[in-house]
Amino acid sequence: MRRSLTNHYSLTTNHFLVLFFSLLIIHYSFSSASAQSIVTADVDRNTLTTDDTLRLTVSVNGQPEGPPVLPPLDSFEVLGTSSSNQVTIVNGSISSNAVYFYNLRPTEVGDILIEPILAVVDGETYSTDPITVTVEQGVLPVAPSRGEIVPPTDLTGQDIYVEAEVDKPNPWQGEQVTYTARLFLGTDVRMRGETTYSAPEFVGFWKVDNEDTVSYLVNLEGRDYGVGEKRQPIFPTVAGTRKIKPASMLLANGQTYLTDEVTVNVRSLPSPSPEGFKGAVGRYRISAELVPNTPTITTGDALTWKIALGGAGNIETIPDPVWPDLENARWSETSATVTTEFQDGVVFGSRQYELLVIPTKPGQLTIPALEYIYFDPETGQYETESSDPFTIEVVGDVIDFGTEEAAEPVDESSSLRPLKSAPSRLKQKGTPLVNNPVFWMLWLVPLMIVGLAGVAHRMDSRMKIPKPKVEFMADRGLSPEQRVSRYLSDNFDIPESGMTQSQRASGLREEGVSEETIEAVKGFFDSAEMTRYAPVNDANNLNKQAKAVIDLLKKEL
Amino acid sequence: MRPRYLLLVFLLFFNIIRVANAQDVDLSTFNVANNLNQNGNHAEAAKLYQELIADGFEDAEVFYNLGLAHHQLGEWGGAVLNYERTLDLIPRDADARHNLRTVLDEVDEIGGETPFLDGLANLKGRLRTSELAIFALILWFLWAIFLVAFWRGNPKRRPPFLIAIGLTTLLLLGILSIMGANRRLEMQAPQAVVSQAETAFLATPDRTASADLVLPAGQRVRVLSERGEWREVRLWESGVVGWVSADTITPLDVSNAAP
Repeated sequence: MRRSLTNHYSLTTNHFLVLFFSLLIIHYSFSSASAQSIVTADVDRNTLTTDDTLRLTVSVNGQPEGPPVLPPLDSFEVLGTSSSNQVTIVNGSISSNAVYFYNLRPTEVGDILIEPILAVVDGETYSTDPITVTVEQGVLPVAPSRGEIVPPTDLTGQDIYVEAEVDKPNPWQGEQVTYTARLFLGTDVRMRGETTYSAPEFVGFWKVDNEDTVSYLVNLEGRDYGVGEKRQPIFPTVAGTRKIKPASMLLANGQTYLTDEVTVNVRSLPSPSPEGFKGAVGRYRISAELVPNTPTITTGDALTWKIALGGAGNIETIPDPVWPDLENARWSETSATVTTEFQDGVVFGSRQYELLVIPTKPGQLTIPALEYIYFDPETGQYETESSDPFTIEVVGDVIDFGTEEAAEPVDESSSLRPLKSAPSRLKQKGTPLVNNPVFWMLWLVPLMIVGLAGVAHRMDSRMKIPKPKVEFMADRGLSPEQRVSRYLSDNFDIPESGMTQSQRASGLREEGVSEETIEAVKGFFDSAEMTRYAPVNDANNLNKQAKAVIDLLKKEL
Repeated sequence: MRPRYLLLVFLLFFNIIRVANAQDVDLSTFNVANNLNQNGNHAEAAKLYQELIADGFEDAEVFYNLGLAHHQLGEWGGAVLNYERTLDLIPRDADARHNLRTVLDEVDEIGGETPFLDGLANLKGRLRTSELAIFALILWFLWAIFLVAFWRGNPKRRPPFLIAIGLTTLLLLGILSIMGANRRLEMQAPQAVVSQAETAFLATPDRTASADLVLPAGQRVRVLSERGEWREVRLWESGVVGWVSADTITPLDVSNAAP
């Protein structure tokens, strides 16, 4: 029993020690927990892109002695802060709670650590746990930080000073450039009234209607200045050196101040551009959605194909996506809306299209992915974005809508013919053909051909042995019949032998010889036939007759 | 064989000239302007097309789209001017011809009886001057070939060549006459378009003179002579001659147009 008592005692002591340390641990744990619960920090998301805003909430249980002390937030731009206080009375006990909100935009990508945030409550300093967020690259370029105000070199204590500049002196064609005009006015200068700002014309640039006006105070070399700033986003439309004429500011004292001219060297987009590139410069994303999102549809039922094209760039001027031809369906564009914003120095926006798609044949309907090619000025590369394709099973009967022309008659007399798309190359003014001396020199070539032919003819004439005349052939032993036959062969392609009278006559007729001459030829050959058996006198007559026939044939030629 | 070979050499030669005259350029500006035009920003689009023209690009597509931008802005002068410039480069452009007809319906152009020279020049039809010139040169070659064939060939085959020589001579003379009429008009009476609405058409170059007629923007004229800030013009395809202020008309020839 004693043993058991001793044991019991021993156990009790052990238990006491265990209990003591347990209580100690619990105490510290509780203390620690209560300390942590006094100041807590939380973020609305742990993964975000550079386009997103992070909401950091710091809650302080109790009455803090001032706002929480934030660690250096180098990787964020603080867009805004707000706070709220809550006082609660429960059973006569008063408790207060303060909540601080911070809207942060990440300026870097990667894992970003937010160090512990400190707050002082009732003289004690409490801290939060560190928070890690993962930031990915968004579509929009990172907004340039305003940073430190660099005093203009020419501003050396003047009361009033104006200047103008662009953020990118060497932009790509179509890339956003921000033109900034500033008015520095010494705070000690007494001037009442409004300043009238006249922006330059921006020839060679596309001007976005949104402009930003900010004013702030700066201390430059010991003097306070009120600064009024106009920021105008512009997009160079033509490559080459462009000069932006001075902006003018009419102050309340009646004097007009002009800024300097600003020179911008606009770079041409890299060549060659990929096929399908239509001039979009910036950074864009394209997405598509099908409403209703159903796997099966009946022919004739309508689907809405919603396409969103958005991003940073001159959203007003970028080309529409190229709509594909859909097999087994008809489509029409029902609406297109464009929204543009200029925020934190970046022009961005979106284009929303809605296309009505009506399947016309049963089977599989494929709505292909839409490709959008743009030039990214940040990377200097052409990029291609694609939307998701869709495949739907279509059931039902074939629907015939007829031809498009029949459905939508076009009034040719009143409608205008459309724009012409870009040719493969633009032509510069050339010399008209009729002003080209080479063209007129070519006119000499035919003359030369004729001249050469003339020379050749003359040379032929000189070299040719004159043909013996028919009249002299009798001396060479040809009979009158043979002389006439030879003459017919030489001049009328009538064979010398083997021809009947009728064949000879038809041959001469084909050559256009008159009937009178043909009869004479025929008569001659009849006489020749008879003369073979006649005395010599008749043969002499035949000689004369042959000469007469040849004379007649000569006339025919 | 010889004529065919010569023709081949000739066509090849002109193709080389054409290729040498054309230059590859960046088309981004043209695309941006087209996008602006499609999105309804016709004024900005027109500026860009004009910049391209100022940079030396005298392309039918640029003129046509600029004409369309003016047309959609209701600026008849610019529309007529640039459609005419398009047709000057590509007379067979059906779109430009259609749109020009449409805008001329709005302009209510003042005309009259077509003078002989204008009528002769109009026989060019839808052929370019360069095409007409090439056609004339081909005929000239054919004429020479027929002449040689007539001269050197078989005497029995001469009649067809004689007919061919006669026909080519007639055609050649006709084409050269049309070319000459066009050339004479271009040199002595270049075409221009009234760019300002209600332009005073005066009998004498004098601001105090009362206007004989008031010309609408888009009225086509031919400039006959210059006197200081005045231009003596003949109304389109008519014999009506008068004076207008130089700044109220724009010549069709871009190099003579004010920037």
